[in-house]
Amino acid sequence: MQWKHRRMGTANRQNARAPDIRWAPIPRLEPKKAPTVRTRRRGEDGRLLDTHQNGLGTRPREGSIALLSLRSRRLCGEHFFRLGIYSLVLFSAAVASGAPEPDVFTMPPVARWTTFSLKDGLPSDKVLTLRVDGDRVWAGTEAGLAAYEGGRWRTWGVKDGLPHPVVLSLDVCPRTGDLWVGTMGGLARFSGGKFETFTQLSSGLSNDFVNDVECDPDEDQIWAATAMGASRLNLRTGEWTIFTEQNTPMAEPWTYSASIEGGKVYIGAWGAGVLEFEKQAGRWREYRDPDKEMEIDLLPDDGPVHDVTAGVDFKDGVLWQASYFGLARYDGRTWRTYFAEDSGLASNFVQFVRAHGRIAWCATDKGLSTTDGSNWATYRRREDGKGEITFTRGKERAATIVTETAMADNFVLGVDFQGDAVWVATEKGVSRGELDATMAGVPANDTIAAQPRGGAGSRATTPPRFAYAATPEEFLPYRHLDIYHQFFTTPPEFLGAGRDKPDPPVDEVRIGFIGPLEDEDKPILPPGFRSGVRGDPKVALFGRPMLRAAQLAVEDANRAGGYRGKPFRLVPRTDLVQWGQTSNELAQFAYADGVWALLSAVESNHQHVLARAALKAEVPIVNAGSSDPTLLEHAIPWIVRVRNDDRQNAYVLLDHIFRVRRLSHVAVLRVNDRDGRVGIAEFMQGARRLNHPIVIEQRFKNGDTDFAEQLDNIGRTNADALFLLGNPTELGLIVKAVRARGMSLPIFAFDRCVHPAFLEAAGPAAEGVVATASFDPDRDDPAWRAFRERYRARFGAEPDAFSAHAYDGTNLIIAAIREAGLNRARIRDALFAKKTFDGVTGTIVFDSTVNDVRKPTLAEVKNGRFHFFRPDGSASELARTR
Amino acid sequence: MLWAAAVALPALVLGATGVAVHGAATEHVRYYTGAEPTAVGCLSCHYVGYGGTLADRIARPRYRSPLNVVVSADGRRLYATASQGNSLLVVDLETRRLAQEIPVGTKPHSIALAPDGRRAYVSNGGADSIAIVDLDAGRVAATVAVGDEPAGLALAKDGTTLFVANWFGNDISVIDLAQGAEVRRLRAGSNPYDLALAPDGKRLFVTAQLSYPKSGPDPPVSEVTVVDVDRRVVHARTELANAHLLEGVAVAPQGDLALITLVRPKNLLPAIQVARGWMMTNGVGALDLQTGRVAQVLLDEVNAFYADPCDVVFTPDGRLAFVSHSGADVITAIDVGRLRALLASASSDQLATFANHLGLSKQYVRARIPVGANPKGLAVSPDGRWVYVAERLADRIAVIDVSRMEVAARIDVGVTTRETVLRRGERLFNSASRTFQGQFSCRSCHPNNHVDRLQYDFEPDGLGRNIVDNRTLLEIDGTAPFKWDGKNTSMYMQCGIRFARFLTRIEPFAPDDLNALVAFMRSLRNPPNSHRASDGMLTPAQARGKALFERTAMRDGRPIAPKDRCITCHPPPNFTNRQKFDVGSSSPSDDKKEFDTPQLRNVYQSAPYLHDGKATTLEEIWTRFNPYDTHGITVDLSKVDLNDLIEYLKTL
Repeated sequence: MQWKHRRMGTANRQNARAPDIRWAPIPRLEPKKAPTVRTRRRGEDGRLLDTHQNGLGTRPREGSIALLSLRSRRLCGEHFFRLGIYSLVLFSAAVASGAPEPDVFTMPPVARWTTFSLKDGLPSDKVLTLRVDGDRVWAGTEAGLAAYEGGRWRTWGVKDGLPHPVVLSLDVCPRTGDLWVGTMGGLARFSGGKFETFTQLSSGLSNDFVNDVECDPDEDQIWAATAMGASRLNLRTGEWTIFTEQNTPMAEPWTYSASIEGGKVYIGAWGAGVLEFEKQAGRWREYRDPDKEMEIDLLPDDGPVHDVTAGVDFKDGVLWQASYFGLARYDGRTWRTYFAEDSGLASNFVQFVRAHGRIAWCATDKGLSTTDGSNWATYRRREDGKGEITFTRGKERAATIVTETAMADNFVLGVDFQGDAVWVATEKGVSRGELDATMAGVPANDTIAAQPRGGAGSRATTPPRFAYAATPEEFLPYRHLDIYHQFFTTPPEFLGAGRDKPDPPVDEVRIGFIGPLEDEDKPILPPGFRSGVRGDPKVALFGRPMLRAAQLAVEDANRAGGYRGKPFRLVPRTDLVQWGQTSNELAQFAYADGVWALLSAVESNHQHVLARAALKAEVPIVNAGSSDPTLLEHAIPWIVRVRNDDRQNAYVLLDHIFRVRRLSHVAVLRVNDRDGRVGIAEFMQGARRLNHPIVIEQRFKNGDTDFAEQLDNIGRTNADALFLLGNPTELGLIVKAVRARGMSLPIFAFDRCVHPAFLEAAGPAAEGVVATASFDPDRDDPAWRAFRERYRARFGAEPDAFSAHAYDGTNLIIAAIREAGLNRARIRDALFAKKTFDGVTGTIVFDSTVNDVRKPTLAEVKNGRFHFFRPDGSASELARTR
Repeated sequence: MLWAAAVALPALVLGATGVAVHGAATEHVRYYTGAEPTAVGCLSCHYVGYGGTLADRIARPRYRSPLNVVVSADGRRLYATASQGNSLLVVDLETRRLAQEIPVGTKPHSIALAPDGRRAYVSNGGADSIAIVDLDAGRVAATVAVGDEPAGLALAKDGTTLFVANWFGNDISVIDLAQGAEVRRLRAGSNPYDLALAPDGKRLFVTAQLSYPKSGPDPPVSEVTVVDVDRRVVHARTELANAHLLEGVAVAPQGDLALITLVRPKNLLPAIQVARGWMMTNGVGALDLQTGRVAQVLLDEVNAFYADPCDVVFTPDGRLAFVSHSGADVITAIDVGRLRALLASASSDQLATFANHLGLSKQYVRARIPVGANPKGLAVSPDGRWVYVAERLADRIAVIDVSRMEVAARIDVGVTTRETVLRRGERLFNSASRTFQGQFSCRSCHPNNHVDRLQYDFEPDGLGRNIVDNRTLLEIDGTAPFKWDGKNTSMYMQCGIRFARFLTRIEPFAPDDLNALVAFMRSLRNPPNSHRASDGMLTPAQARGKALFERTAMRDGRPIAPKDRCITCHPPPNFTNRQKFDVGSSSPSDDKKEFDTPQLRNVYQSAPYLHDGKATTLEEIWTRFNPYDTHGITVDLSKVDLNDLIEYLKTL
């Protein structure tokens, strides 16, 4: 097939001497090493980690920002510093951009589509991944593995040895021809028609939720990106090596994607940007979003588009990063970022990217976009079943043509290439598109006038700043700057399939519960599963009350008729396991237990893992216990929250400390885990933005009982207040130690402190401690009173705040099920349609991410018990009395 | 009087000394062997040379032990690997004499000849390499590194690619001979052993000596790996159910049939089945390469068994196939036409019955030809008149006249005809003559003197009770007691009367034979450990694992009681303290909870693990079967830690 150049109007005449290439073998830009800065930082375990940061695509880390703020003590210092950095970035980019850019228009369009679905022999319409293997095409579906060869589909399932029906990733090993299969239940080698399974129990694999598998083309090694780190299998020695936050710069171990070429391995880590591993040197480097903020992109082309990486592909020296916030491209010199609003990208929700030569194919929830970095061709299915190709040059839409056939669906999950054909995985089957070389030029009547792209967030029509998460003006990041792009302005959408599935016949309606549930009768967990909290009170003390409250809600609902006469039933599972194991639990909920939605609990790391797994399993989650402010900052349309978070806690407490109490020098002592790290972030940044940077930050570990060293360090500063963040028992012991040393400075904390375990551990020393509280349990509210009495009667104990939120969360799920029926997608829709929800904790107010943004209340310990007061009214009164 | 005293006193002293020494020696033998001294001589135990001492070199003559043979295309030369002589033997078939010995690497296993006949490729099992031998110059021209313990090999038809079965590596090395280097490593079945190329050169068949890793009561399933020669990928994996020890493989010249030697064990039936002639049966697998049908037929007869089928060859016209039975010292000649007809006429249901049909072999067995000790590799002359047999433990090549179906000549390739105690023990170990009806040899359960990875129901206590995993014989010297319950305090006890009563169901070994057998077993050493660097240096992961293995405190600083430390029960040199413990591994079907602490030398090669083989991998010992921290403290280990620990264990 000979490619003839297509005329695209005046816009592409500069490329009129188009070659006879199809997959654009474009002159390769040799990646140039950007200057690196070697820094050291201390990991969560206290060990020093080396971090090699690229001068172009990285940012100062949290510690250095804090240091900077200490030095400058002025807000404008931050801005000038960052502007200087970004100016340098832009200058470098301008200098580096001398090479000619390839043109996606040199490639003929895909105009003829053929679709395969369940009726054609696929085991499921939901196809999550594809791999071309010569004349054969492998498809990983929700119900097994399939191969298309010789005009027909062949399938394999669990009965054939596949470890789990849901296939998440596939790769054909170029060195052996074997197919590697990543599933929700382990990794498998499919060779000679037989499966050989590797799980975290039977092998050194780090986790059974295998998001991606990649075969090293140069060595007999397999890389698996799992929910608990990356695993590398040496096929010759059988050695497994695990890479997590413990031994790499990976801030979070939730790995999503891997790509290998030219001696480098790239790992897409959710919440940690992109990790680069130089195989020979064994050295890691990280690429992070420079602006350090989840809800904005400060500048275009400044680095990875976001720290939440959904996919990476490294081909011909070009790195592509897919995220749910846009696309990024790095050629070794400069970064380019792309949003739907300022490019031809179909949607910012990019689920997958795979490059063919220097052309990237982006699987989004609104179509398939191809780009060479400058020009775009985007494929969509129209409502009338016809296809549509939109060509965009830079930011200008160049043309739109209509094709008689279209992809199966616009919700695209994977793509691969076979000669002159492209294969696309969607939620409604697999489509095969053929390049159409006969389309030598766009007919005049199909060409539309070039017009600028527009939309919310584009530079041409920058809207007023949106106060995400009800953030007060003074706490907005970079509020004096013109922000390039803002996220979370609208609720996340789910555009996938499944809403038309009717209610199945059931005997009971199952709702999942996952939280820290102790069960001493059970055997201890095997190595690699344990979270380190088992046997300690800590978070475990929140789990059982939450389960009881959820049970109470289910019993109430069943008394009221259940769901159309069928009873609700709670299916509990524990998350007292290592982070990644929660993904395995979710796979069980979704595919073994058959729950319609689930209620989740406290520890933030588990919630993030659950959310990521839920995105692939498509199960709605209501979180009722985590105060992690980043929990919903990922655009996943499957999780909502019914309690206020540490962002709201920080705003209220900062206001109270600095404005009401007129204190100015706050020392921080926090737990050294993920909850502590993300919980303190907004507090510290907010303090800095109020011109009162934190004077010292000290850390302790869960289970510590001796805090002398930290308190000595704090005692050497001029701190006039102490802020504590952690679990109740440790906080109580700290308060006791502080007072025992004769330190009289006022002590503040977030809401986990408001717990009997704190009062018990602190004793009389607790007097005067002020903490946030998610709601006021002393208020006169009939619903709250009724719940409290029923809880007491049922369980013989006082309900705590966590159990109250769990009761509300369960009732929210029940309400959504009753509204939507037994269909997870429709239940999700019902949850995401909520603006408010009346619960026993009061009226929950949801923001654009369906997060509870109610303002917390405050509580002070007086006479051995907490007294609650509103931050505005009585707080002032309290201050006057002092 | 004086002279009488002068004579009597020394005599008295000598006599007293003799009595004392004899008494002490008796106690010594009883203590260490559990056997009566009459059955054990001093040399039984103390004459165990390991090859390094002067005394050993004097006392232990060099044997060559031909293992595999090939014949040149012109039929004038025969090449044999001298598995214990570390050389390639060149035999002039016209004179039927050994013409040349070319030193190669350690433990040479198999040979492939280049199409031009000027080069031979020899797998050096002990050196993990392939020797490229210049036959004109009579020396090794080059070596190519391959996987762990290379065994069988095959050359592609165009002579450009060599395929090598890496016995302990569980993979197949693909060597590009133009590059002189390995270019691919394909996954094989468990312990790949032999290879055969289809006549059209497109498919390669690789036998897996052992069955797939498994635990529980499932019968063994073994694999024939089918390789696409042109694409250099695994094309298919054909399974043979209820079979293992797949060793020899050959494809008929017509290209329609592949025969694979096999053993069908009834390991999970109580060992009493031996008396019924049904403990192990021996036969061949037949792959119909046109229809894909897989059949198994036996070469045994109702009251006569032909143990340890080892190699198979077809005559050039494809009308006959010969199978060597290394445990029975017999070569079976198969009428392939009759076998084809039998298989073709059988329904699927009938085929299933053939696998256990002891009366069927007379239909297709043309002859049984007795040969010398431990016949292994076979080769046929290009004209089909002669079949050459490597009589491994006789140091001879037998020449079978195909027309007369008898041995016509024997070519002596050895250095000596003297049989040492060790050699005698090795012969007894490999012979099925000491089991009821010759059903199996020691080697049938301990191929390569190691394990067959199966679990057995030995005790006469009912079906399914006290199942035990097979244990290695390599480096067991100094690891007494034996058996998982530690009941046998010595190898004499292990291999003595009880052994005959429960297992062989025949007269026990005569004292001298037992001496020789024990001496042989005590001499067994592990092959080189592929996970251990030659300089002894540990990788970072292995070093971290060693620290975990030897640790005395948990991650949080809490001390670990001595009984809960790895190193306490598994101390060097053999990594066993030779005591019994309850590590929480027993099952409801076990009568005992305490089991002998196994040694850990080359433990990576002896999966599955624990007394009943319930852990299919090292990881599972702790991830699945240490739920209460009773098998060492692992509660605080991360998955990274566990991987490190296992990397270290693999070096032991």
